[in-house]
Amino acid sequence: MHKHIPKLLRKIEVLVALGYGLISGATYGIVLVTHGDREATWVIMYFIARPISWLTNQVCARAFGYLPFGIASFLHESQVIVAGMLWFYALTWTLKFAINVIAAKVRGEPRKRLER
Amino acid sequence: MIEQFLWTTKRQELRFPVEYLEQLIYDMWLCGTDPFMSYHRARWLNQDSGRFWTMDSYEGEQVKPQSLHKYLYVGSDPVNKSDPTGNDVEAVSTAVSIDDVLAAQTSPGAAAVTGKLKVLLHGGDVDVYVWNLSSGGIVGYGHSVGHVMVTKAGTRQVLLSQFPHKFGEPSRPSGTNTQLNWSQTVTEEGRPPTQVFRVTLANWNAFDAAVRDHASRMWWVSWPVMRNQTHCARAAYDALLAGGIPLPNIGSGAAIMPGTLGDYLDTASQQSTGEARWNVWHISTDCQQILTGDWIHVTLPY
Repeated sequence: MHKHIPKLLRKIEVLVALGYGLISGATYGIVLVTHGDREATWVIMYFIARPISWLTNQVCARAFGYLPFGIASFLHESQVIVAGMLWFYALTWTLKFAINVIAAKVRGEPRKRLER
Repeated sequence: MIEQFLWTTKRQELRFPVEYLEQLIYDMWLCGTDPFMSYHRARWLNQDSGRFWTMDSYEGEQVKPQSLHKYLYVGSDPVNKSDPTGNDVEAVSTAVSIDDVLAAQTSPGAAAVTGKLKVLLHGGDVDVYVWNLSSGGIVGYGHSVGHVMVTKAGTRQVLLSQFPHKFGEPSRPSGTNTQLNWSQTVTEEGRPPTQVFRVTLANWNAFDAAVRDHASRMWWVSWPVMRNQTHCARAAYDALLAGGIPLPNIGSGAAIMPGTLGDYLDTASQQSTGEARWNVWHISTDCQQILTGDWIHVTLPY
């Protein structure tokens, strides 16, 4: 039915991650344009994406002083969006896995390897 | 003495103008307590005579003959020197003295009492202004994630008010560590602080070292990771912890939000006894009142 859609985009976890990236990126853009509070936006996204954002921040925050400020600042700000995408990918994948396992048990089917 | 009187009263919010405060002091005097004695950590000082009640535990220095006197306050030079610990003398910067004088003068008729109360209530300690995350949202100019500023008590002398940008620029989650002054900080936040605490520190020297450390760091980052990075709330947290305020241990690599620091200080204010070497209590969130001392707004810890 959806043969024209790339196989990767047929996965729900990829769609959720891309959707989050789109929404958070757009929010960041609006905050930038309206001179809103970028720091608050960063903090909210940081907490949404924890604990992955903690890991990415440990790496990106170390860029200050080593890379030019513009690049370090871009890395530091964009890492919360990327971390959020990874976090939502992981969450959706886990949820999908759990639903499949429970559904198989309810139907009384033997546990089988998940379709890729 | 005022501290002891306040801390032993039931928890209630007191708001009183200076006239009532004068009455309070008079009542205390009637009750047999001397409101003009102030506790300087190590010893009680009689404000009227300028002498301590008990002997100095510090033996003094041969090259400073006045330091050998066991009862004299700051070698009889209170204009240029102060003795917040009760044991040793330190120089008062001109800026602080002028600020104190101006603050007292903006409160007509109350200067004498205000001046004495400043000593009675804090002995030259710090005010911690906490702005929580504003509920207005994040889009559009004028919203703030919150902030923490630390000043010398009752003055505009800022010790910590770290920002990642210069005054008037939009907020951002990282940048060069910049300290704004009192007026710039209040303007930048654009609203009264959520909570203000007056803090008596147990260890001024350690507090001062932490303040200098954070003020000199290169970068301001929302979630500091490296030793050369700071953050408004984390800087205040580290300094207050070093100063002997019992805040929960969050570890060296963690960040802290302004509202969380406010909660910690609120908890500490409820543990204040008035007898300990440290104290934390709520004061007015009206910035002008903090400076003029027209009103003292105290939330008692019980």
